[in-house]
Amino acid sequence: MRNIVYSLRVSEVISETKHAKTIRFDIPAELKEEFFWKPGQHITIELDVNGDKVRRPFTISAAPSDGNALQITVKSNPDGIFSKFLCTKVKAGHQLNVMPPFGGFTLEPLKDRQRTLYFFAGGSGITPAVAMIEAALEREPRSKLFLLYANRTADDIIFKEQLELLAERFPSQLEVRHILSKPSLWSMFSPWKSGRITKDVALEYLSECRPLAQNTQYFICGPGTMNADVREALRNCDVPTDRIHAESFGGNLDTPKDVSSVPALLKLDYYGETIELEVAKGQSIMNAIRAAGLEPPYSCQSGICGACRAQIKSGAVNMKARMALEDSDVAKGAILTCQSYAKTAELSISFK
Amino acid sequence: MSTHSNGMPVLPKEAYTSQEWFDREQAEIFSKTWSLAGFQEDITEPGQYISVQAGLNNIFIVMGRDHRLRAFHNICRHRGTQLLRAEGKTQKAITCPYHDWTYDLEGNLISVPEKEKEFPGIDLSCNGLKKASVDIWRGMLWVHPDENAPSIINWFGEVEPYLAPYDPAGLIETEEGYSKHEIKANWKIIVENYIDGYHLSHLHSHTLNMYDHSKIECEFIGPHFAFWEPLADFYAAEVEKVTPMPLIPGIPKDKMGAWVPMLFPGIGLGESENSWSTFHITPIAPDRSVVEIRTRVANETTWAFTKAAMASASFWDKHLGAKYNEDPKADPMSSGDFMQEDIYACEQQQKSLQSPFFEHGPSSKHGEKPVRDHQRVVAEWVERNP
Repeated sequence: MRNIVYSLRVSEVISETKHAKTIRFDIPAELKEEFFWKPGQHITIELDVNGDKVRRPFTISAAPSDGNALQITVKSNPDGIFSKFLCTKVKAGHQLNVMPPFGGFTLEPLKDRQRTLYFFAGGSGITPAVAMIEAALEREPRSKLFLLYANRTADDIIFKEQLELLAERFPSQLEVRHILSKPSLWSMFSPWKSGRITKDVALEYLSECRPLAQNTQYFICGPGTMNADVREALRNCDVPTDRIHAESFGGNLDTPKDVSSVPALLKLDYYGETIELEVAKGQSIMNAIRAAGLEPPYSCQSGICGACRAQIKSGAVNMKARMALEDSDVAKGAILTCQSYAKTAELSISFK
Repeated sequence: MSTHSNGMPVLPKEAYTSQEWFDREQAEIFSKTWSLAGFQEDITEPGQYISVQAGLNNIFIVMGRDHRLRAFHNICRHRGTQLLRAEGKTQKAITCPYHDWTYDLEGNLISVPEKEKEFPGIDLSCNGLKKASVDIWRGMLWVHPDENAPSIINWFGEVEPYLAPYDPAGLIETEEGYSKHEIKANWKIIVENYIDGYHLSHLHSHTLNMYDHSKIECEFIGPHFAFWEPLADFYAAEVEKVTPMPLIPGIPKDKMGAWVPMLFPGIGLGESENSWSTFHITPIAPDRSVVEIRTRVANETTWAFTKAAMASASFWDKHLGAKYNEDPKADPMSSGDFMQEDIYACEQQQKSLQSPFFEHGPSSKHGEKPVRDHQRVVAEWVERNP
């Protein structure tokens, strides 16, 4: 990932629900290639908050098909300055600083395959799912798609009409089910179930929505607890881990607040250049690198986006959060530098 | 290989009689293509499995607890013993009967008795079952010996527009529609009989006359043969009233008829206005094959079937019969059953191949063109890896 920020014009702002807005961008012709995205990827937005540059990733909520604008859908979080700003202050015509699409939580449609694609989405976790669903319906006509979508109330369901339209247009391919934790007694909308997506609910869902043959993939995008429960359910019925793909959205993440660390000498292979620097006890690798005047790529600063990923060559680190990495990535030495603290006094890592 | 011009058969006599040809076809055709393994509904519960022979490979399909189908070569990684027999239901693991080596439903080797003593240092992860591919197409289960098999959608995709416009997965199987025949003929003779349009109005003059053989549309699409013919006029005029079984919904009136493709290698389908069947040829020896037929019909009540049979009985008494009027028990040609007529013709042909005086005769320009085309497809596949 390259660490370049572009100023993009907001072309349109659409209210999706009481708390969620979709922001569309104009992409100038010369940036079309740079801003091409895979379904499931996100862009990073950079804001100036009291003199500090703050970056956050936002998932692109549309498939990269002809006629679709690059758009993000943001749910306003009462405690989040960032999402609140995007939802209340941004209007069509404004300029925003944006980094190009990025991320490994993606679905690549395979035209000549028939697969069963499962999506477990919670709240704003629908954003990557809807981009993937749109893309798969359009370019994978043999596949069957199941979406289980969790929200608080029917009014909180983002893309409700759009999902209904898709299910009508592709009746043999897409099946959408809703689960609401606080369904209104007065609502005309009746969900498949009331409650949350727990392990048992996921198991019940899987036994009702059976796959076609052997090519299945599972995409989980919700709060950390929901993701953990769905993973547990899938593990319970022997789904191989390489078929499970997850990204965290909102909610409390179960990550350690502090991890132990030691002062260390870091040998850095920085895009071919070798740099040596010191990492203090309690300082993240990312902060040590930035303190040395370098600008490595980073975005969410919480272990979700994977923008700051690097490769460990010798030594070891402790990581706080690492949702962006699969176990197999970690086994091969991948680390998230913004979440990593030195575990050995000597360390060697590389950015490519 | 003979290079006969149009009008003469393409394959030599040995292709139908020699063990060498048979072995090459087993290795180059039946071990390298998608094989029919059964119907989708044959495996519905976790742990349930079936095993099938696909050319030189014995493959089993098992459903995991995630309801996903997996396919593996039915060979223990220890001494090669067959792990699962025919069909059945296992629990969470597959244990080889020989030394109790045990695999999970992902094919991982999870237990070796007396491991420390007998196999010190063994890496179980290097001894998992060899994977094969399984997929579903048109309501049927298919296996391919290669873990990274070419997509089944591409393999059948081009012939699909030439098949019946209904989904066979929505039909139900009937017991009466099942039969298994051991036929004393090479598999290609049976295929050639199946795709020969010339014999229909002759051998089956009294048994398949409900279709209009003068309006056949057929051609090879890649290695597969596509075939369609409309209902005969006398039947089409009142098909709703005189169909012997409830009609399958979804067929436009002007397309009412029979789609009878022969998928490569040796998997015929009989898709008609009121029934859908598979005609699966398995070569056993150069001069012996097994044909297994399974049939699905419209998902209607027993009463609907009884009603259709009763309402149409007198109509069909009038229009169907036997080619000859000898003893139906002694003479297949007097049986009034087109399957018996075909088996008789195939077996007689195989027998004659043994005669020193046998010589291939000329082959008809239109009706038997598919026969020559199929021979070309076979020749192409067996010559791929000389």
